[in-house]
Amino acid sequence: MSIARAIDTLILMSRYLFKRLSAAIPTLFIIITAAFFLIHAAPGGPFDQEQRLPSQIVANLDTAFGLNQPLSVQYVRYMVALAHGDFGPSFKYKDYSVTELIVQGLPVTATLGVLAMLVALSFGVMMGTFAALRHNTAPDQATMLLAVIGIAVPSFVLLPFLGLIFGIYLHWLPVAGWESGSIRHLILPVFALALPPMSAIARLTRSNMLEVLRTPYVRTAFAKGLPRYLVIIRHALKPALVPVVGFLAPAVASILTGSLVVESIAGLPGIGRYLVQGALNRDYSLVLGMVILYSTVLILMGLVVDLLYAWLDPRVRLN
Amino acid sequence: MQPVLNIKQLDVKFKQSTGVVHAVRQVTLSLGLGECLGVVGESGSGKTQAFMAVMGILEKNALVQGSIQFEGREILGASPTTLNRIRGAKLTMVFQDPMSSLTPHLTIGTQMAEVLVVHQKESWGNAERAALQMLDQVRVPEAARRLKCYPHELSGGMRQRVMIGMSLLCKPSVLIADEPTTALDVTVQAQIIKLLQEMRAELGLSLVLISHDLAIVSGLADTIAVMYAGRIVEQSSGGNIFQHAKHPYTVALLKCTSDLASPRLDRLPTLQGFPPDLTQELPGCDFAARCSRASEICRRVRPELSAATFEYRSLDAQSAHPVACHHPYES
Ligand SMILES: Nc1ncnc2c1ncn2[C@@H]1O[C@H](COP(=O)(O)OP(=O)(O)OP(=O)(O)O)[C@@H](O)[C@H]1O
Ligand SMILES: [Mg+2]
Repeated sequence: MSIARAIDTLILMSRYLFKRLSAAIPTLFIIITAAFFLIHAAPGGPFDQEQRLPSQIVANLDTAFGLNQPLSVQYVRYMVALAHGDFGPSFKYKDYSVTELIVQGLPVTATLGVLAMLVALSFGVMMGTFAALRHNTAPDQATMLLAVIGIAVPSFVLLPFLGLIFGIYLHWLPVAGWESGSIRHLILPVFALALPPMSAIARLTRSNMLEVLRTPYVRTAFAKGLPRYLVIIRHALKPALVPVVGFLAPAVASILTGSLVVESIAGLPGIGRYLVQGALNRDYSLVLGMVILYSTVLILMGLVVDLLYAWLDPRVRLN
Repeated sequence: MQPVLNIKQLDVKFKQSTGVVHAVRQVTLSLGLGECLGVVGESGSGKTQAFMAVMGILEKNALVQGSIQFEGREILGASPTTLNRIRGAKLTMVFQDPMSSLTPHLTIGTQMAEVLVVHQKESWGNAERAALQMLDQVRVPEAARRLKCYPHELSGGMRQRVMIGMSLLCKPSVLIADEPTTALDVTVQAQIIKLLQEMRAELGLSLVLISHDLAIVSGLADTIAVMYAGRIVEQSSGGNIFQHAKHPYTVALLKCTSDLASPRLDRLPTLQGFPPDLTQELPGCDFAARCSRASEICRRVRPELSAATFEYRSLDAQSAHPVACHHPYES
């Protein structure tokens, strides 16, 4: 590749990134605003408990946290603090700020999520390619059966099931716990999280690969006398991956929601529990913090997807 | 003279859920050294599949029978490894549709160079230099810049030049050009045909030129084989076909040829009627249903090619122009 072309690409890419990132700010703003008013519109408040607190104490707490102010004032205050990078205090975990909670739990969830994504992608693509190359044979059908099961069985069934087999009967792996992220503790949760997107990716890759293998340019590659593995790797794989890239954002979403369940079943100290618990407790700032985090991840994912499209297919222009 | 490519009684069948499509039937052809063989026939007559069988690149549902000898060696049924030493190097093919026959995400340079890297174990640098030279040779202007281009950045005519250049990199002895001009507009068509002619002369290629258009083929071909419903129905020397066509199908095809010199009609006239269903085996002549000269015998008895093997430059007028017809036109 010529240097001039590489520099051109680089300039194009940074300009594109800048444009996309600045476009993401209004999107994020709208999401935060909507989430703010929605969570406040939910009945009840952070200090309503089964055993009712004396109303004077609730009133005092409300004053302390500024909850007695008009909603519009609370909104402006929240946004101003946010602009300074302050996500506010948690209403439930009283000694912690939202930032502290997220910083504590994020490494666990991120490790789990990134590993699950990598497993889903690499194994999914390999399984799909393998099945396509053995189209309509027993190995193909077995792989696809596995994929159907993987899509149909949710993580909250799969993880206890795997725990039962590999943990309790075989004693190979621990059933739960984190142990500061030892590989043995990670295997089952990562796999349970990866299986649904992996199965979907395997099916997608298979059907795309079958289509690509019938294209005239793959026929040309065979006619050139290239060995089969070169035809697959150099000529067929990239185009077959284009639709898989389109599935990346849904896959990330599936892993994010899956991690809520998997973390609580396996007792992992991630941030997954904060979203559900925060919503149930009306822990306004915690929920908003989680919404901002997850939206940012998904927005960034959209960007990665676009860059990947451009990398896979030179006909796609970044603009 | 030993032919470089010798096809004997080639049969290609495709298994389908609806039945077996018998696409190529008992095709026997030979191509001498430096010779140009034209293969013509309407759409679906089996031209492409016959030569895909030669390259060993038929779809998986295909069943091939017969014999295909390349430079004296049987290559039908050879292992992919054996075939890969020949195809792309000594035996190459250029396809019908240049728009989709190049890999979209690889540069022209990479796609050309890899042929030399694979077959001659060249380094990528040397291979790209050779590719550049070849682009010059097939008259691609600004070759150095084009080498860095992706296929979609080139016009159809340029892509077909690239395909031809790519197929010539390893100095093949046989080039199969499958309708190399069908997807291109008329002026470009003439240029590509001229290029093939020049390359043939420069490199001493043996050329198979497939087309549904007799006019395109007859200018170049030493011999012409006319295909209908998977069979060869007439064979003649190249120049002969216009004045001396014998098979009613060939005569009908001639009425549908384009005239490269004069402005083209919007659409070429097409043959009346439809080709037969290739899942059926008719007892008589496959063309009888569409033929104005057909008689009762045509529907009952299949006419065999009048000479079993056809040899170019043969002195015997009869064997020089075999035809499979009960009522051929007399020249
Ligand atoms: N994989 C396949 N399965 C079933 N039938 C097939 C398959 N491939 C080709 N055929 C059939 O074989 C017949 C011959 O096709 P072929 O491509 O050789 O035609 P052709 O003479 O090259 O026509 P054209 O001028 O349109 O290129 C056609 O009827 C086609 O439908
Ligand atoms: Mg064809």
